[in-house]
Amino acid sequence: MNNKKTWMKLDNAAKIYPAVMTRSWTALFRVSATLKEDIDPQILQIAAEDAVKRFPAFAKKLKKGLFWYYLEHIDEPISIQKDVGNPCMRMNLRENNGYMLRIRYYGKRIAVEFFHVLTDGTGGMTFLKTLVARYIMLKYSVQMEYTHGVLCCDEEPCEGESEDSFLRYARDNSRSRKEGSSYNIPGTNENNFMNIVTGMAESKRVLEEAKRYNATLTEYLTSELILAVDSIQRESVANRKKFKPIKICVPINLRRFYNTKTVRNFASYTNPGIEPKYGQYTLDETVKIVKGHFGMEMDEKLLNAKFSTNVQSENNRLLSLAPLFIKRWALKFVYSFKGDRQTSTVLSNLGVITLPPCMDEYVERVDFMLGPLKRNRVTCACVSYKGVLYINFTRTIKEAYVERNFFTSLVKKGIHIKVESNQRW
Amino acid sequence: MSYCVNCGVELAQSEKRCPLCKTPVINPSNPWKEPESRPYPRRLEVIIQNINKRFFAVLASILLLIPVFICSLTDIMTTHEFTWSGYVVGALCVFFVMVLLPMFFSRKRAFLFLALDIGVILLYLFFVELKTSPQKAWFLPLALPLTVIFGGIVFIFIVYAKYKRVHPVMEILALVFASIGVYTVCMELIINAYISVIVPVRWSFYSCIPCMVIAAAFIILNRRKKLLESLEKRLFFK
Repeated sequence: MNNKKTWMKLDNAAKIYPAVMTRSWTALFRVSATLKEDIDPQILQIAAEDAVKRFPAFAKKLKKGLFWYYLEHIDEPISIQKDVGNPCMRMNLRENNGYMLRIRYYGKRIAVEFFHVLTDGTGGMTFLKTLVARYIMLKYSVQMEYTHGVLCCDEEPCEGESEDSFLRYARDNSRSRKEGSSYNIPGTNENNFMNIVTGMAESKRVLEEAKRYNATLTEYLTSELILAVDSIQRESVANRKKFKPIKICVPINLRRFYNTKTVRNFASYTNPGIEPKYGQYTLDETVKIVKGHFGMEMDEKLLNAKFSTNVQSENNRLLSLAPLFIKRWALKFVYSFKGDRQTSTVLSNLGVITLPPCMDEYVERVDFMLGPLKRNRVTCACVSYKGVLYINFTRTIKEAYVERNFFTSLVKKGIHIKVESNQRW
Repeated sequence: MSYCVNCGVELAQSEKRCPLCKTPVINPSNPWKEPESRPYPRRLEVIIQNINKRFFAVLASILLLIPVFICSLTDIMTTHEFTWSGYVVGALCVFFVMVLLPMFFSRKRAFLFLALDIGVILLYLFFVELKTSPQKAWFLPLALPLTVIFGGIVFIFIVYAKYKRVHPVMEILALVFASIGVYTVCMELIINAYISVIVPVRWSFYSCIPCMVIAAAFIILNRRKKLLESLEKRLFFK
């Protein structure tokens, strides 16, 4: 008899997502890899089934308990899908056998879209690498090297891979989560469509520019994005006294600070920003502020206190005893007042993606994009691969002013940008 | 290789217009032609939004017909005319206009809905007057002005919500208390006029003054950030 536990609790960061999802919105993100040849759907289907078996934490469907949501194991195999022109649209959890991830293919590209309940960007990228490795192995009979974060589908999953690292590393600390609201980018809503604009630049060139300000790539891009949003507020709000702060939510991978193998959510965030009503900031000043903010926030103790506060709220006796429908109502209420109201947009940088040399020759490009949030209807995600920085802007508004301000600012500094999009002709 | 003349970015072969500023590709030596493959497929995932709200409204409207039908039938079968069932049908009509009708509209037309709500309430009250005491008229001197004044207060709230950018809690509370104060005075004046009492204002004075004082206090609090902060400092509990 199989004694394997077939269900598991949602991790601490995932708890908010099912409560706040609606019929038209789920918090999704997407990672994709473009190969040099067209994708063979039959081989991809086999690779997908193998990869999902290797990641039991992802072969789960969302179920409602009396007090909390929980994840139940799915025995049915996952089905791959043809890609669409408007990815990251809301996920219907009743479709696709209840899987909360979608494996899609189009031309030479394999893409995986995840509901944030399952994992974060790093976990998603590990899955994509493993899936693509399996595909390449099956298609080209390559002897695979299981390095650079690629997992072997024939091995049994490690115990620590499905753990909730928030619970494991939380200490008895707490930190105030109080934060004011910030400027929300205005715009005309798109109906059933998510605009994608990808900007491609040479990583080395952008890094050189960042080094001029003594900043890291993330710090530099965050500063540029802050100023891109700032000029929108300055144009759209006439009264300077009514200017709201501009803050960018930047996710932080907590795996850098803890020795964990988890493929589930294990990320925190920080919200660097400026206060535009005090005057117009230059890029130099903005980078200084962002650098200072990161310097202060990227500290294990502060980050631990931040997520420990969430873990303590989860463990609160009164809260945990409240029935799920009350919790959902409360979480919805909290999210509508806190949630993404606190930031103007998101910038998630997955960093440099490396693959084993045997895979490198087959993979041409890697992308990462975020599905827009409820209020932050423009988001930005970047990833570097083979010396190219892919900056993916996604938005559910018609106007492309954030991307335009951002990319033209880079162009003015002599950085060559190539753009492509999913615009309809 | 084409560049956007407006943004300075290089445009991928797939781009007919610059995705940042919508400027068409202008490259006389290499005119745009549809590439063999686009970065994203043409096929779109269709999500039908708001259908549930409208569907619910239609379903609820159909379900409303059940009590309408049963009450009317029972009334006719027992009394052989429309007597008490009129109240039920009227109340359900009010419910339909106030709750279900806005669900049929995708745009929120607050002023239109307010006018409709006030209209249907007045109609229902007029109907009740006709049914109960046609000889002792209370609709024109009492119900009509009270309802219209109430509608006026809601109108002010809508204007406040729609046309003011920020809505501090203190300002909202001040508006609520001031409205209660004004409404009680109006209420007493109208009631006194109806029962022909000469003294214009008596009891409403006791509710209006505290309400106005509280409203003024909230407005002052809203303007005095330091006072608000010191109150928060003294009263915080978490």
